[in-house]
Amino acid sequence: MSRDRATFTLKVVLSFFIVYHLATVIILPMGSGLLIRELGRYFVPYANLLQMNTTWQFFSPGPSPIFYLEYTYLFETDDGGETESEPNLLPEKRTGFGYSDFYNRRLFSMRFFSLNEQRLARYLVPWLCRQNDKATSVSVRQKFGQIQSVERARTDSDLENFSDLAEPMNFPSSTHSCPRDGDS
Amino acid sequence: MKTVGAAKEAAKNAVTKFAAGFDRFFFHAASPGAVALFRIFFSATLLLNLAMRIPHTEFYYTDAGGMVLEYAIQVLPEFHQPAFTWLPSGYGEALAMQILQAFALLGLLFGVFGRVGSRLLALVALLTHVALMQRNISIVYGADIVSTFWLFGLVFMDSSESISVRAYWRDRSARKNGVKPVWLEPVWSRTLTSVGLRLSQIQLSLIYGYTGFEKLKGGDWWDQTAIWKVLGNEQLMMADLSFLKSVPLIIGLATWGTVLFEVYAPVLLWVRSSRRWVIILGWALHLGIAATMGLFVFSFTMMAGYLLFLESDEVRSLLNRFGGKKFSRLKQKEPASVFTSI
Repeated sequence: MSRDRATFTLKVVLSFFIVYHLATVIILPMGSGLLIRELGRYFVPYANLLQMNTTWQFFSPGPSPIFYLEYTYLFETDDGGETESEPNLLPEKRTGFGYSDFYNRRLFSMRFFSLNEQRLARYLVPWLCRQNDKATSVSVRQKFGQIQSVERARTDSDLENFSDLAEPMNFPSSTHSCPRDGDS
Repeated sequence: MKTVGAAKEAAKNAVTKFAAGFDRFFFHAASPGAVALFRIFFSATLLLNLAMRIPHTEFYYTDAGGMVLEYAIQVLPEFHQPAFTWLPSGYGEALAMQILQAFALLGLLFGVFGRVGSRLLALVALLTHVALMQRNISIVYGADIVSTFWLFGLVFMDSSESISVRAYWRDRSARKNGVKPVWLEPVWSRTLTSVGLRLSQIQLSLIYGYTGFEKLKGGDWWDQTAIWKVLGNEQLMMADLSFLKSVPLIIGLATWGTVLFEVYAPVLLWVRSSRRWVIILGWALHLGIAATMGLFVFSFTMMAGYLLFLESDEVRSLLNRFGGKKFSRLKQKEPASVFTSI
C-alpha cells in the first residue's frame, strides 16, 4: 500500500469515527428527548463502555438545596418493646468551613442513593443496617434546607448567622426492616 | 439537461469543498505547546484527584462503603449500564488500579515516552479511571466525568512532543551532535493528534453549551439568585460570604454572567478575536468556584480544557511571561515539527 493511500485510508476510517463519536456526545446529553428515544440505541453501548453517557447539568437547572439523610436505628427490647437511637445525619453536619473531597463524595453518594426510593431501600438501608448489627430496622427521612431569599436575609434580623439562612424542610420518614442473615 | 449538469457540478464542488474543510479542520490542527500544557495541567489535576481518593480506597471501592460489588452495575438505570466491565473486585485490585493509574499519569505529566508510549499511558489511565467509576458510580462527580473525556482525547494525542523529558533529551542529543533539532512527526501521528485536539475542544464547548441551556430551564438562574443559593449552602461553601446579601447587584450580575458565559462561550471560543477573553473569563469563573466552594479538582479539570484553544504563538508568549528562564530557553529550542509520510 502506498503511503498516500495509507494516509487516505486512515483519514477515511477516522472520519467515520469522528462523525459517530460526535453524534454520540451531542445526542446523549439530551437526556430523554425524542432523538434519544429514536437513535439512542445506536450510541448508548459505545458511550456506556467509556462512561461517556452523561448529561451536562452542573448547578442546573438550579443549585441543589442543602440535603441530608436523617436515619434512626430501631431496636427490639427483651420484653418485646422497641427503642430507638438518636437521629444521625448522612453525611454528618460539617463543623465550620473547609474543603474535604471525602465529605463531598459521601454527599454525592448519599444523594445518588436517597433520591431514588428503590435504591434507598435496596442498597442504602442494608448498608446502614450493617453499621449497627443490633438494629432491627432503620427509619430514614430526607432533610432539606432551602436558602431564604436575598431580600429576606437582608431584612430579617433572625437571619444574621450563616447557619440560619436555610429554612429546614423535613420529609416524612419511612421505616425499613433490616435484612437478617439469609435474606436476599 | 444543462441545468441538471450544472446542479451536479455544483453538488460535486460543494462535497469537495466540505471534504477539504473537514480534512483541514480535523486532520491538520496543530499546537504542540498547547497540547503539552494541557497534558501537564490535566495530569497533575487528575493525580491530585487520585491522591485524595487513595486513602479511602476501602470505603470507595469495596463493599464496606455501601456499594456492594454485585450491585455496582445493577444500581445504574439500564440506559447507563455498560455491556462490558473491568471493575476491581476487591481492595487489592482497586489499589493496584489506582497505583497503575498514578504511574501512567506521572509518565504523562513529565512526558517521558514517545508518540506511542504517551498514547498507551493515556489509554492505561483511561481504562483504570473508567474501571474505578464502574466500581462505584455513586461517588462520581463532574471532575471524574470530564476527566474521562480528557483522557480519551489524550489517547489520540502525541502529547509529549513539547515541554517534556522526551523533548529535553531530543534537544540535548541534537546539541551534543551540533545539529539543529528537527522533529520528524509521521503523518499518522500528527493526524491522530489533530483528531484528539479537535474532539476535546468540541467536548469543552458541548459541556458549556448543554449546562448553559440547562440553566435556562431553572427559575433561580432567571431570577438571578442562583449564586445566592450556593453562597448560603453550608454543605458547599468554603467561607461565610453571606455578607454579599448587602450588595445584591453582585449576586445578580454573577448569576446572569455565568449563564451568559456558558451559553455563548461554546461559540466565542472558536472566534479568534474573542477566544483569548473567553479563556480568561472561563479561568476566572473556575478560579471563583474553586475559591468559594473548594471544588479545586473540578475547576482545574475544566480549566485544563481551555489550554487546548491556545495557539502556538500564545503558548510561546505565555511561557515567556510566566515560565521563567528555563521555559524561555526551552521554547527557543523547540524545533519546528516536520511532517513525514506515514
